[in-house]
Amino acid sequence: MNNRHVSTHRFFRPAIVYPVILIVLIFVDGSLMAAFSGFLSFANWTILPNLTFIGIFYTIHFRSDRHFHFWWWLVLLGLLFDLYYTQSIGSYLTAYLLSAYTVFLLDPHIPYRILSSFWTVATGLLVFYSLIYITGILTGEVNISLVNYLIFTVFPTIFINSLIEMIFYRPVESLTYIINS
Amino acid sequence: MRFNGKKILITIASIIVAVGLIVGSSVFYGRASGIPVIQRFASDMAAFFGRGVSAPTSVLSRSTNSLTQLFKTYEENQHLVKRVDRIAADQIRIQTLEKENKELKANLKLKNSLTDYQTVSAVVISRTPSSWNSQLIINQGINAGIKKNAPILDSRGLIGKVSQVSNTSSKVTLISNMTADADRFPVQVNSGSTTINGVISGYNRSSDQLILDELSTQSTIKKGSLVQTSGLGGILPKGLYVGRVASVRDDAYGVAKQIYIRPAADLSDISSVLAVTQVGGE
Repeated sequence: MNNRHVSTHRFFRPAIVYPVILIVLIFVDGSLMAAFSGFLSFANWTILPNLTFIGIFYTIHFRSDRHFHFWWWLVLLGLLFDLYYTQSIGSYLTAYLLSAYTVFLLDPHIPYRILSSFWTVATGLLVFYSLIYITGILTGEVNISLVNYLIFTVFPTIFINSLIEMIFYRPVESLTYIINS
Repeated sequence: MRFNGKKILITIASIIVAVGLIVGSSVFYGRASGIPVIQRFASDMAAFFGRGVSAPTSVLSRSTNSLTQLFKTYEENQHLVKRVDRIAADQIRIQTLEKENKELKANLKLKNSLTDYQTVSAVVISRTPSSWNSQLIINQGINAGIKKNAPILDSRGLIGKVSQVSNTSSKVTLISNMTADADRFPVQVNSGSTTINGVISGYNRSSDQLILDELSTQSTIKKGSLVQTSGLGGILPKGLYVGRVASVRDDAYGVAKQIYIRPAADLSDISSVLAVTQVGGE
């Protein structure tokens, strides 16, 4: 994909579009959780929407991170998430940064295919939710065992979010091409 | 990726800073009565955008729920028709009791009590996408008279209380949130002529039941007994409906009893709430 040319349209500049999309995705995650919590939490199972991470993955995978100050925006996203949703600063900031860095390191070694992207996202999400568990222990918020957390929350969350990533892979690829070229 | 001395040093320093920030901020928010002005501004801005984003998802959710509810309607209708007559009779009885209560308070010169409270309605705009940090964000804050620790109710009963408040939004910690820094809810069980006080100290996710212990007496509790807030501790008003007793069991050591409560409110499906703004003669 040729990403060297940048759109000259005022509102389609990657430096504006990508940060806005990522910020909106943070709010979408929370509103999805509020609107569909009955569907997303049933019995012991909990599926956590993480469209923000999927957005981060697409940004790195489609090389859009080169068109804006990606890592600085990621710090801001993490801070925003912590301030808006939690009662401690740094948990999601660390999780987003390190999971994004994992994807950043891993992605060039994975074949550029939809099915392969599933594993990159899954690994990134595993790092993300492992860090959330560790930070949860630090703040005394964790009230479930690691095994229960992995089986009833992390694995279904990874599966559903990776599936969403695969479904939207082609449309986002096209959209990225339009924005970046 | 190669590791040299400088990189290792930066990594260690980053870990220390991150851990310090997470633990420090958690302790700060647990103790602080309010939030810093900058965060209040950020929360208000975020709530403003959150409201815009939540609008389409709420519409989608309502449509999905409508479809699901359609299948349950016939059965529910039959059940509700039977209850309507009883509700009318109950309403008349409540009105009479309210009048009598007012007269008795006037006779005793009791101007306000813990059962008097005012509410303001609010809409849930967001929910923390986390498995243990059960928090909601509602679209009312200081401007509507909401304070930290204000009780939050839905149409069926108590669901939680305000943990952080900014000008136009508030964070609500659910009654099921059993994190270390979350305050416990003091409640009482009314079983016949017996009243037992206790503190909600746990939540069983699989059965969706609250666990009540630190009981004031070991009296026998009937299944189905009403559970309401006790007003002890001075944070929550007395008489907010919490749920009904589902079962009474021995604790893990077999020494004390634990009461399992089925919450009146559906904690997984909350779209609009009532925030208590004034209790008694505040």
